[in-house]
Amino acid sequence: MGTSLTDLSLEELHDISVTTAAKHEQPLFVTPAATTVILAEDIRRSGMGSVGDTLRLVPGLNVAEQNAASWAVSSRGFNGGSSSKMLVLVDGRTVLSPYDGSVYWGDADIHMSDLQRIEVVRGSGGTLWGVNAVNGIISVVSRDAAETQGSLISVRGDSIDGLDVYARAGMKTGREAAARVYGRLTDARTELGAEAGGGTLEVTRKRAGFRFDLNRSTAAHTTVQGEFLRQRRTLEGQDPSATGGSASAAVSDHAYLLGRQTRTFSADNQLTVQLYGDLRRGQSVDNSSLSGSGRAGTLDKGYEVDLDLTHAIRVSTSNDLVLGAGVRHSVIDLDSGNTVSGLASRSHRDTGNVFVQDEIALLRKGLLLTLGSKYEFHDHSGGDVLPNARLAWTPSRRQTLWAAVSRAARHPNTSETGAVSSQLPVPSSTGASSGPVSVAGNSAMRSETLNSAELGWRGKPAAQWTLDLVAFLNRYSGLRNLTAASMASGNTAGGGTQSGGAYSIDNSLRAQGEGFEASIDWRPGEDWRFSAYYAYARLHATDGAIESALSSLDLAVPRHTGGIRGWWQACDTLEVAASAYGVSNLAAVAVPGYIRLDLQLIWHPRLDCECALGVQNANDGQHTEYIAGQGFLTAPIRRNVFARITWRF
Amino acid sequence: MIIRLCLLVRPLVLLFAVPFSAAFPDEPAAPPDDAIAHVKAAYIYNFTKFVTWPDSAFDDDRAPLVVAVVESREGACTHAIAEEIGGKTTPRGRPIVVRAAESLVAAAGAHLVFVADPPSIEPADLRKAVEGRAVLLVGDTPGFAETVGGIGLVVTGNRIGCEINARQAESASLRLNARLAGVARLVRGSAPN
Repeated sequence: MGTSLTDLSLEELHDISVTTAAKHEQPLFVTPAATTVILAEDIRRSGMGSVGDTLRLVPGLNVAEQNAASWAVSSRGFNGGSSSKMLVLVDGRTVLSPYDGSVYWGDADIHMSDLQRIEVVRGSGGTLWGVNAVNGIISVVSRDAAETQGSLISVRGDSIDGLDVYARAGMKTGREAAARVYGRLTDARTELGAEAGGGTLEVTRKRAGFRFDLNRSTAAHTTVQGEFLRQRRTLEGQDPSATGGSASAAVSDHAYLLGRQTRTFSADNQLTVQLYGDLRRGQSVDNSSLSGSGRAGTLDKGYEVDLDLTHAIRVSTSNDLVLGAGVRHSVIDLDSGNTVSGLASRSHRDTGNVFVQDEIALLRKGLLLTLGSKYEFHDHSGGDVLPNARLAWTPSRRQTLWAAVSRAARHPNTSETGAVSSQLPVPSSTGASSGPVSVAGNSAMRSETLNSAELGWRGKPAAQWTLDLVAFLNRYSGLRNLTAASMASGNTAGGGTQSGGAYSIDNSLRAQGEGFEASIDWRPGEDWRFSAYYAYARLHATDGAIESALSSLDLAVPRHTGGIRGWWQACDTLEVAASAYGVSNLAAVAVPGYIRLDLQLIWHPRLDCECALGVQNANDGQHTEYIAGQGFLTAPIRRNVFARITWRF
Repeated sequence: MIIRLCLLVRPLVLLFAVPFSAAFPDEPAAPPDDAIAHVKAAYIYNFTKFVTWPDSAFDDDRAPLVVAVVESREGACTHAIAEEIGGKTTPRGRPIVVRAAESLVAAAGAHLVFVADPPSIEPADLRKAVEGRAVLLVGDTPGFAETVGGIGLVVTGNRIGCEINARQAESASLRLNARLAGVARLVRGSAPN
């Protein structure tokens, strides 16, 4: 391990598991992958109000805010709006739409007070995480109910966004059991720019949920949690030609129930079983572009059941084995308002996987070899083998050198394979508004695949410094490619105007990406912390003709991204934080670069009360972070002043 | 749907049957006590950073901060704490001295008293022993912060958290840094005054 326990900050100590401390789990410093962990304290100091925004803290992630309720997040390219090559998990539950692969950011938005950590892995992680973990994994983890005892009220007001009110009650339900129940109301309002048709997009989310944890010492841990979320999106005063519909409102409901048990039979033998069910009901009114991602096409009814087993066992002093399996069954219904064909459509998906990974300590001191593979079966596109090999060398407590080769895949989603056509926004590279177009599903679509090589170095030249460098080379094949089938304007069966023509979709594109990411963390004292990162990325087609700007958008990646953050605790009760983030332009789709500066002052009048005042985008009247119009409900990001008060009692 | 799921589950059951039957011992594992003791020691080191004692609690500017460990077991916690933090200094440059104390009387003069699980000391006796003195009480028995005061270290599954009785600490003239609240559950004392 690179540090001793007393080198850890109070927040890191609170986050560490006892088994990690006993060196039975792999600490971050020697992990042979580009991994970043963001703790709740980092988020609190950042002043970010949502999980989507918080991801700006992660080196190498490109976070583009589309509007107050949606983000396009990618790593190493492919920020085509749906983040479809990133796997996003909340407490082990996938929050990707089975329809179009977009992220349900509303589901992922756990309140800061209940967040334990956000783990981000850049690069492929198919062997352990499965399909969709092509360019990265974002895992949001909430706190154990035992750690959220007592009552809490938090209110945040934003000058341009709206309101966030959260109330929680935590209680002991037995000697070894604890629970929390909570309710939250968020109201985010966004003034859309002229490119997106103008008007106001308002997203109101009301949610209520619970989490129950039963800890029988360290031998067994059972978690049951669930939530009901109702989301209402209204779009008023918009030019209908921009989105292909006459704007109105959409209401959607989501509920889930998850159970997980981890049994620790010995320090070297642990079994986890997880089962969850997800139920969604979306009710689109008039305008199909009011989907969760701010894109056209939406899921009207659906459910998903998922069962996973993971078994970690130390088979010898030099072999740590992890093996597991999982099955998932998804059903989605689309009604006639969301399909160009005008036909109601039901489709179901079954997937299953088995995986095994062995971590082998080699003879030479500090050399760790990880070999593993997953086989994932998909009832539509067949099976994918997702192997990886990783080698980490930790010659001293001060540095780790690692290398990895891996293969990852993304299964086509229903909007790509469906028998009915979908409306998708297809941007123009010239910026001219074209509106959403009809994209015919292709039943012959198969998985997109990635073969990746990574090289990394993590160093700790002194206790206060941590450096991280990663270089990568990615080769993609079978990428989706949209080809214009006809460019004639026409009317959709749902009543909307189809102004951009029809497209067909296939797997004819190949591409290559390369780049590097560097980050540094400096803690000169308990009261100071600085961190900075820079990432360079390139992504270009190597085979296949790009005929649509949607394919161009898929391949669009900002060449340069960077960030710098500083935090200072001026005294026992006062904290000051400042951060700046810079992103270069997306030339292929005419999105300019930007720099954004955030400032925050945090005051603790009492130990149980926290007040914060901050300004986001302080340096800039407004900028746009993503392609606007042409079916995307992207809004200019304006200067925002916010205030937050949190009281525990 | 059910038939499809059964078809998918069947090979998984077969796959797991062999390793599970071979791998599961009959008895669940005991918690890794040594690792827990070292994490608790690291917490105590952090408390010396984020709790401010009044100057009057020290003889002079160079006087050490004394951590006394009262425990029923044979020095396991004392050893871990001494190993982790003995010889370190506080942010104000005071050396930290760790010593074992067989009783509360022997802990007199310490600035931080860690009462390790499970000495047979009544909460009232503990409170009385430090009454009127700038002493931070830390314990790891369930409900310590509520029944005794100060800070309780609590094992929750695989993690160790803490509970803080801020009122008791402040009545002992100790100043708590707000960062402690970020990782702790705040509790009120249930003990009679």
